[in-house]
Amino acid sequence: MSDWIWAGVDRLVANRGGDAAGLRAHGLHLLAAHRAHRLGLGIDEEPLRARRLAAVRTLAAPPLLSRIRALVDGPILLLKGPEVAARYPDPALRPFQDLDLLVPDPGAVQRRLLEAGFAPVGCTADFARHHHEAPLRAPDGPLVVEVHGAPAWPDWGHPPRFGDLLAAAAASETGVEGILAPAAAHHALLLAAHSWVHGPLPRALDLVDVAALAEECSPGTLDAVARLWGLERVWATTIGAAVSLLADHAPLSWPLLLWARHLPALREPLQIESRSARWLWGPCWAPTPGRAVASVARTVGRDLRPHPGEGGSAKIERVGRTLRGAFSGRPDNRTSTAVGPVLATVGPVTAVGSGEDA
Amino acid sequence: MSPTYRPSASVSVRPVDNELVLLDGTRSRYFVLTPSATVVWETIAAAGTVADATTRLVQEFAVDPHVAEQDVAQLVDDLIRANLVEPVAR
Repeated sequence: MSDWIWAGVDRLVANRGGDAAGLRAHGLHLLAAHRAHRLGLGIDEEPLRARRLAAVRTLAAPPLLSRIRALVDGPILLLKGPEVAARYPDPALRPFQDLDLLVPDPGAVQRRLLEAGFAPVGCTADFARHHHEAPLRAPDGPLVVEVHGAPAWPDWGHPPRFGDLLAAAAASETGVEGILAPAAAHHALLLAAHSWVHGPLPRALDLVDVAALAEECSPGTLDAVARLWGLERVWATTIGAAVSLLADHAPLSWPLLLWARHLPALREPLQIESRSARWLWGPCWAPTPGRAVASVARTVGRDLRPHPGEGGSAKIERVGRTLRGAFSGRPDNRTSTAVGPVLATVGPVTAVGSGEDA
Repeated sequence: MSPTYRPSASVSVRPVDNELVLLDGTRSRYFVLTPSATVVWETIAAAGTVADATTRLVQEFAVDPHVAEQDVAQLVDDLIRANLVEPVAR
């Protein structure tokens, strides 16, 4: 059923085979390395190392989810990461470094995990205005846990209620008892909204994810959910871009021709492209012109407002950097950290080998 | 009688192309087995003996039987030391 998606990914990466930075920025580096192996082409050490690390994270996710399940009361919905990876030809071909958990009481879950030895990653103040709690590093593990009280959502709308998502939820594809996942149609729309907030249309991987989930639903169901959640335009543009990018001989949709040209090219977006997408195109998909204008103002304001604990000079410097970057042609490398260097937290890779190739 | 071993209960595995990635869930360490070591692991995990693993290594990698025997013994020692396999009582 989803063969066209993987054939599309193959075509896409075949055209950009040598551009490691672009493949990584779009999250397709593991699929590209797997394809190279399948075709008997050489694989550099770095992609091979990324594949090993992805395999470790794939192995580590179910026991970590079991542990969290045992620690935390109440329903848990698993979003993105391993839940979407289960739809890939091999789950270890979809990079992820965190487990995104949607829960009804994120504060209580966060406190419980901290009590159990999970440790905050980075500066917790940075997450005061974020849609999830500060990320937590699992003890002795390669994965980070992010606890969400609500899905990321465009600021001109309202995310679906937890209860509504829970009512339609199914058992997680990870097979961990007691862990649920949104219904496929809900999940596809949640991913489209998440990607829109962070982009819009920032990475090819997001479109592959959306397409893989959408394959499990009828178009009518997806359209109905989009309508219900006020995401008709976002959904139509996202799924249109996915089909345009992945389907054989499909013409490029106009966003891919105009402001998301980094997607078919599989290159990092330029800063000017990222900013115009975030400040202009993203908000303009609001249902009404009034809400679009208000959203533009809020988005720009949010990017330029002081961060918690940020001093005056630091703020001026950051705002200056943001404004200069908005009009520069340099790549926006915010997306190039899809797979972080967490190798050391797992333990050394010990090559236990024998024979001539040891 | 050639000894047999089995993977430790805390170990989970995942193939990556010709290699095998092992995660020891108890100690939060992971290991990468080379293609030839993967052949040995697969034989052991399928309840084969050390001698079976040596034979398979010779067949698939065209190595000298004596060298293969030493390499398999060394690998099994490494796996035991890392708590990745445990002996099966007969």
